[in-house]
Amino acid sequence: MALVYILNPLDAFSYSFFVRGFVVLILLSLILPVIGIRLAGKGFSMISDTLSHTSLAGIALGLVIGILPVWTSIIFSLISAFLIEIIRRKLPKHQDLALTIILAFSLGLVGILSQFAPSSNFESYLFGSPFSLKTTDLIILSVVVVVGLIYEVLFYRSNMALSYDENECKANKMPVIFLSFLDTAITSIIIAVASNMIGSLLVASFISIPVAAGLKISHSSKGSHLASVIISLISSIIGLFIAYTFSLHVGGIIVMTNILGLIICFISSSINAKKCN
Amino acid sequence: MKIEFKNVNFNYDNDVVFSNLNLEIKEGEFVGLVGNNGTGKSTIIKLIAGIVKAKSGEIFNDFHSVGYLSQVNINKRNSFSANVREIVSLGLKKKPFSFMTKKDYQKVDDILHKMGIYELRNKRLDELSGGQQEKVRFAEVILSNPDLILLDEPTTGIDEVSKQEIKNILKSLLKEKKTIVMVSHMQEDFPEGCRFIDLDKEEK
Repeated sequence: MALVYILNPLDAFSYSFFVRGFVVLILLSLILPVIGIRLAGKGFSMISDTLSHTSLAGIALGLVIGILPVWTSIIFSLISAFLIEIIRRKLPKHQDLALTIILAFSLGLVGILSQFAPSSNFESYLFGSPFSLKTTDLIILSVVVVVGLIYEVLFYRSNMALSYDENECKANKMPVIFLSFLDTAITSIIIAVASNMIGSLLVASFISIPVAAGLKISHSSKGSHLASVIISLISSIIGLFIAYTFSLHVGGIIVMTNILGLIICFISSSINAKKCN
Repeated sequence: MKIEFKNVNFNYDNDVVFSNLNLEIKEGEFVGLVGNNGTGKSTIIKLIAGIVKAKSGEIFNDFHSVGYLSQVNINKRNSFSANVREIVSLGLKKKPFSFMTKKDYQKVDDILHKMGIYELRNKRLDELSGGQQEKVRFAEVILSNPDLILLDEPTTGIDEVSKQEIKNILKSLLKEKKTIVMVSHMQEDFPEGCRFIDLDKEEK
């Protein structure tokens, strides 16, 4: 049986690795649920799972050929996101299939490349290891998150309009193709960078679980954005402290605290609905 | 301002929808496009809106702004987070770098009152009936105050009461001399005074 070390949670901030993990999770809690709400609005949540796994293939390639994995994963993620976008436009009935094919292709590539990648490194990219991040990672992530948030604010209304009715936007002479491709590019870059920092598993959960919770408890776009960011912040910080205190797997624990947050939101919204009735 | 189709051809892969179609719609007209399934009624609306492109022929459209109400798959909207007020506000501002002001929201609330859906303002589309959804979509298009309104089967799949309410909205748009092109299977869905183009009788 593995030993579980219990540490004093208050000591955590005296360690720079903890502070870096803490900051990274806050940054990602701000941006990933916002992307998730948009993807859910387009009925396209599965793309985050596919892109985080294609990023993984990029990371594996980077590790094998000795390039900083964040760059190779961005390139992989961008290429697959554009492929998905093209298939979605040309063959709209086959978009689910496109996601699954690209996911299978990426995982196949991961399987082959991971044989040649240093294994100790690779696992942290899969399951996430916010405690092993470097200052450079933090700088890259901060830049990406700030650019992402500026984009989300400036393009908030056009993205809402595109999710609502793309054809109406075309009739209104909006540059729909350009806006969709810009959105795809920004989404895939953020997912690729986030996958590098916290692993594919956590990225997919940050993009979907707090979003489902936010959509459950709020009945507006602004409210859902705010609720999912707050749920994501609270559950990832609680998860981080639990993982630190009991020396448990950070990524896995944060997924669990996110799911716990989702369950609480479902229960509270059901109680509210009963009260209203 | 007018719309003119000259010898327009359109096909999906090998299926010819129409060939050598000629039609003209003038400013202030309410035109009803009728005809059997597969005659290309919705396609004409999409061609006017610029959503699809003709395979050959000329389409002339000098209306500056176009409001388009598409046929919609309600189930798709379940995970769309915006509520009625936010959706209708898109009629005012939907371009990148645009932001809503208090005055804008006042305009949104005014149209919600006018359409009788103010009480629904905090609900999401998936919480509304088909008829209520249609009124929300109408409110969004009317708020954008377009020169030309394109309506693709706005009364399909909704209850009789809502159908009558939609018809009243159409009547008031007709009175305001708005230019409207509408598609429907049912002739009784159109308000009196509208000019019909029967695609079964047009040259195919």
